[in-house]
Amino acid sequence: MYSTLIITLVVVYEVGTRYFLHRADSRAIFVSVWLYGMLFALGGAYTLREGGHVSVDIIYRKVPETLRKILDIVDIGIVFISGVILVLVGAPIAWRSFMIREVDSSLGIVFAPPIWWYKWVAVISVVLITLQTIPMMLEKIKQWR
Amino acid sequence: MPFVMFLFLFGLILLNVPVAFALFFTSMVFGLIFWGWNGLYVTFQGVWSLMNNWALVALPLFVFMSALLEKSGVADELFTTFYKLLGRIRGSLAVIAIILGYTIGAMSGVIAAAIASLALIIYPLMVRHGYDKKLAIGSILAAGTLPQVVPPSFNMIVYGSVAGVSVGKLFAGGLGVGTVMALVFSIYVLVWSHLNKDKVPVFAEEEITLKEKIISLKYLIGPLAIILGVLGSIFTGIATPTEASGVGAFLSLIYVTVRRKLNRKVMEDSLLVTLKVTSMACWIMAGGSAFSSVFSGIGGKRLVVDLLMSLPAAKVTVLIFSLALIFFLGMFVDPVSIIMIMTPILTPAVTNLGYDPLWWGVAFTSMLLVSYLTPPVGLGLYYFKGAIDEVSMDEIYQAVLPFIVLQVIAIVIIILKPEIVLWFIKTLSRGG
Amino acid sequence: IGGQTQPSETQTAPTETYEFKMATFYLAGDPGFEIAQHFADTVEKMSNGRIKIEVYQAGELGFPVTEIVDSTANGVVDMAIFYSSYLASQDPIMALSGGKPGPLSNPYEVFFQVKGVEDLIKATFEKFGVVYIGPMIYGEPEILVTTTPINKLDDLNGKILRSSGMAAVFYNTLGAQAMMMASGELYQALQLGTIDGLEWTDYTADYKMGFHEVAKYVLEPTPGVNLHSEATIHAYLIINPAVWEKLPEDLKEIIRAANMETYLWGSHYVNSLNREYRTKWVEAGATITRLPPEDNAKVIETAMGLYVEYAKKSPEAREYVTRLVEIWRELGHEDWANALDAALKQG
Ligand code: NA
Ligand code: NA
Repeated sequence: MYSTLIITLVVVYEVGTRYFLHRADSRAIFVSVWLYGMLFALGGAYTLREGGHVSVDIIYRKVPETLRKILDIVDIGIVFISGVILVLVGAPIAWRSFMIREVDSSLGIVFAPPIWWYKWVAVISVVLITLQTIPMMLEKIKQWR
Repeated sequence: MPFVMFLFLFGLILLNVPVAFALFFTSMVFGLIFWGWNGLYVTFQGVWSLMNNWALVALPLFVFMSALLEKSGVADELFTTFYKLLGRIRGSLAVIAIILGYTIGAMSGVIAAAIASLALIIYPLMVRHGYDKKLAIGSILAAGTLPQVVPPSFNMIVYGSVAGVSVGKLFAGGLGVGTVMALVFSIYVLVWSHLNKDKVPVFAEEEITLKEKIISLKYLIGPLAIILGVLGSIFTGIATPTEASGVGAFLSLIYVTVRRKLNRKVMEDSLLVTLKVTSMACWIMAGGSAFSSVFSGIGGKRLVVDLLMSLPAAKVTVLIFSLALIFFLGMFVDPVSIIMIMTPILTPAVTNLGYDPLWWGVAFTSMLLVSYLTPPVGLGLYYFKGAIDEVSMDEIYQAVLPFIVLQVIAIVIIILKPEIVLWFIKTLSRGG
Repeated sequence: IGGQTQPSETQTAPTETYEFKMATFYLAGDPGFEIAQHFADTVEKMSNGRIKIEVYQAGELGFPVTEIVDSTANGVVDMAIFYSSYLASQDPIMALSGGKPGPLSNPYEVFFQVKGVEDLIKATFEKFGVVYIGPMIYGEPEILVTTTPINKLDDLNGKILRSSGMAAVFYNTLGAQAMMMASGELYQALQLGTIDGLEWTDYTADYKMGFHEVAKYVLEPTPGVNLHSEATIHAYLIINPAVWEKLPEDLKEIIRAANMETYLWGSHYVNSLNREYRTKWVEAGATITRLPPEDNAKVIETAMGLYVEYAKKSPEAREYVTRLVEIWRELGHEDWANALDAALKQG
């Protein structure tokens, strides 16, 4: 959550050093992109819990209560399946990245930051989303009874 | 088969599946069937490529800036001031929303940022002052799409490099479209407000004294300084547009602190809203990336080519088909992918018939803008809903309809009077 | 419709057809994309339709260009062309076989050099899980586009330049500031002075990005004394191992031959385009300069520092760099060969 604040400061630092000191610090752009990526990816599970992932409820709101309960379970099930598949596909990708200790090559040997960990951030994000669906699913099933 | 993908997605979305996961799930089903296990790889890559999208760093920064201004009450002061100054003009707040959307356009091209920001800052206020909900939603959504055509526009840069036309001239043309659209929206808002006096309040003449008006001007200084700071840092070359959003967030933070309106609650509320809106929008975009990759990978492109070939090569048919296709794809697929996939196919077909390639580029990008707002699948609508949870999707759909018509009218104006766009291009761009 | 027709198990059927997906790192407006498309068409013609190749643009299939090798290794696409600098920091051979400072300035010299180190490049691609076929796309020497005149190396001092890879290293060594920026922001950054200049690619691509509208100075390399980026191999053809194994020998040969033909066809194509677009730059009012001869020594010296650094990174890299001495000597670039020889003996 606080990463937005840090991104703000990093970007201001980047602009400031370039303009006032005439020094381009390329580390800043990496850091701000990583922080942004972590913010949205890791925030996915929290947003799911808070009901923040937008859905279109025009039909949902008009159907009978029982059908709505079925839809609830179907919907959360689709999130769960998507999450599981993303984990299954993503984990090997992140694993290979770790095995070769993947680095970013954009700046050659000037600055080659490791990025294998960032791929794990993607995997962990989908793991968290998948895990978050479980209590939600249990909740819906409980309501069903 | 690729078009069945659209139906499938459509179905899932109507079943109330969160849009982001409807996109992922559809990509997975069709990727698995028509591409094999390997096709699933691109769905994960959708997340990864979004995590590496530099331009989107501006999204949390913009949303944070807006949330901070709203939650601290600064936005309230600002628009109340505007309202006092222009209160006698019915519909003034909606026009201000449109002008602000136009201004954000000069700072950024990230539609999610523009719509979420406008929704956060202006919507609560409009509703509190008794504005008709639908007018408020519609004008904010319409205004929020303007950044896609008002330069800088990332879509136009992609179009320019794929089609090989001048980016500077496209920008000038985009400014033309943006201006026409902003004018059309404003006129509509003013006329509608006039016809529906009960739904759009004004301050009575005697309510506000001149003195009060002058005093209220002080609330304008800070926010205008922030806007000037952002625009200024871009136009003096101090910062790129993405960086300028950081400057904006920083300046807002300073202003809110100086005004002693910053406390723990304001800060935490703003950061939480930022987290939620950013995450919601980016997961949808990641799903969209997965969707368009699978669409392309299982032969969607070839299908479009075949369709185009089967048409009679009349001037109007090809143009209408192309615009309709862009519109249709725009409902589901992100604009950058559409530009990449469709430009090499459609642009030669259209320009071979004698249309100006620059004009077509502008028309192409403008058409994409319409698809942001069309129900049921319109990314812009989702971004609004993500920022303002209490409105229902039904209300958003109804609110946006007149503005879609206006967008189409603006585009028809551009098609029938290409000289408007060409005038902007000629006047504003030099050389090349 | 769509999807991939899997070859049936009966290996003997002569009418068996293959549909391949090929990833590239170009957008459709780029000459590189046209060259890749030329390759696809040539293969289809030569194989009498037995191989059909669908060419995809950068990012069209959802993965970033840096993931092209991984995607080919995993069979997400069947084949790809790849700019090895995208893995420059992952493996020194990838860096060396991409763009770098050096004396080369034409397609034949580049081809000659690749042949001299091909075993090393091939082994490196194998390490990353793909089959190396050969160089497909020749890249012209790159230009530096600036908003203020650069007449000598000293003028670079303190300039903020968008650049990447080896070029970034090179400019930093010369006292400039290399920075990264999203490609979508470059045009406006030049226009408004956020950056002083940029190194993107050649005259053609830079013109298509519209940079001639917002920057009027071009520093072009002196033949034989390139700046950061000599003429190079822009793209190598790589194939998924399982796909390659399954192909009958005659089709393998068609792919190899089409690749060679494409290299020659494409070299001529980009070379002609680059001349044509150089003229367009001049017509747009650009001033084109080259470094004065007295700066040559400084360029070579800076380049040698880089080569010595890279030679330290792995035994293979040392082998690669060492071979360059003889390669350059045979091509007649005595000054570079001698400088590298001396630098290697020292370092
Ligand atoms: Na914009
Ligand atoms: Na839509």
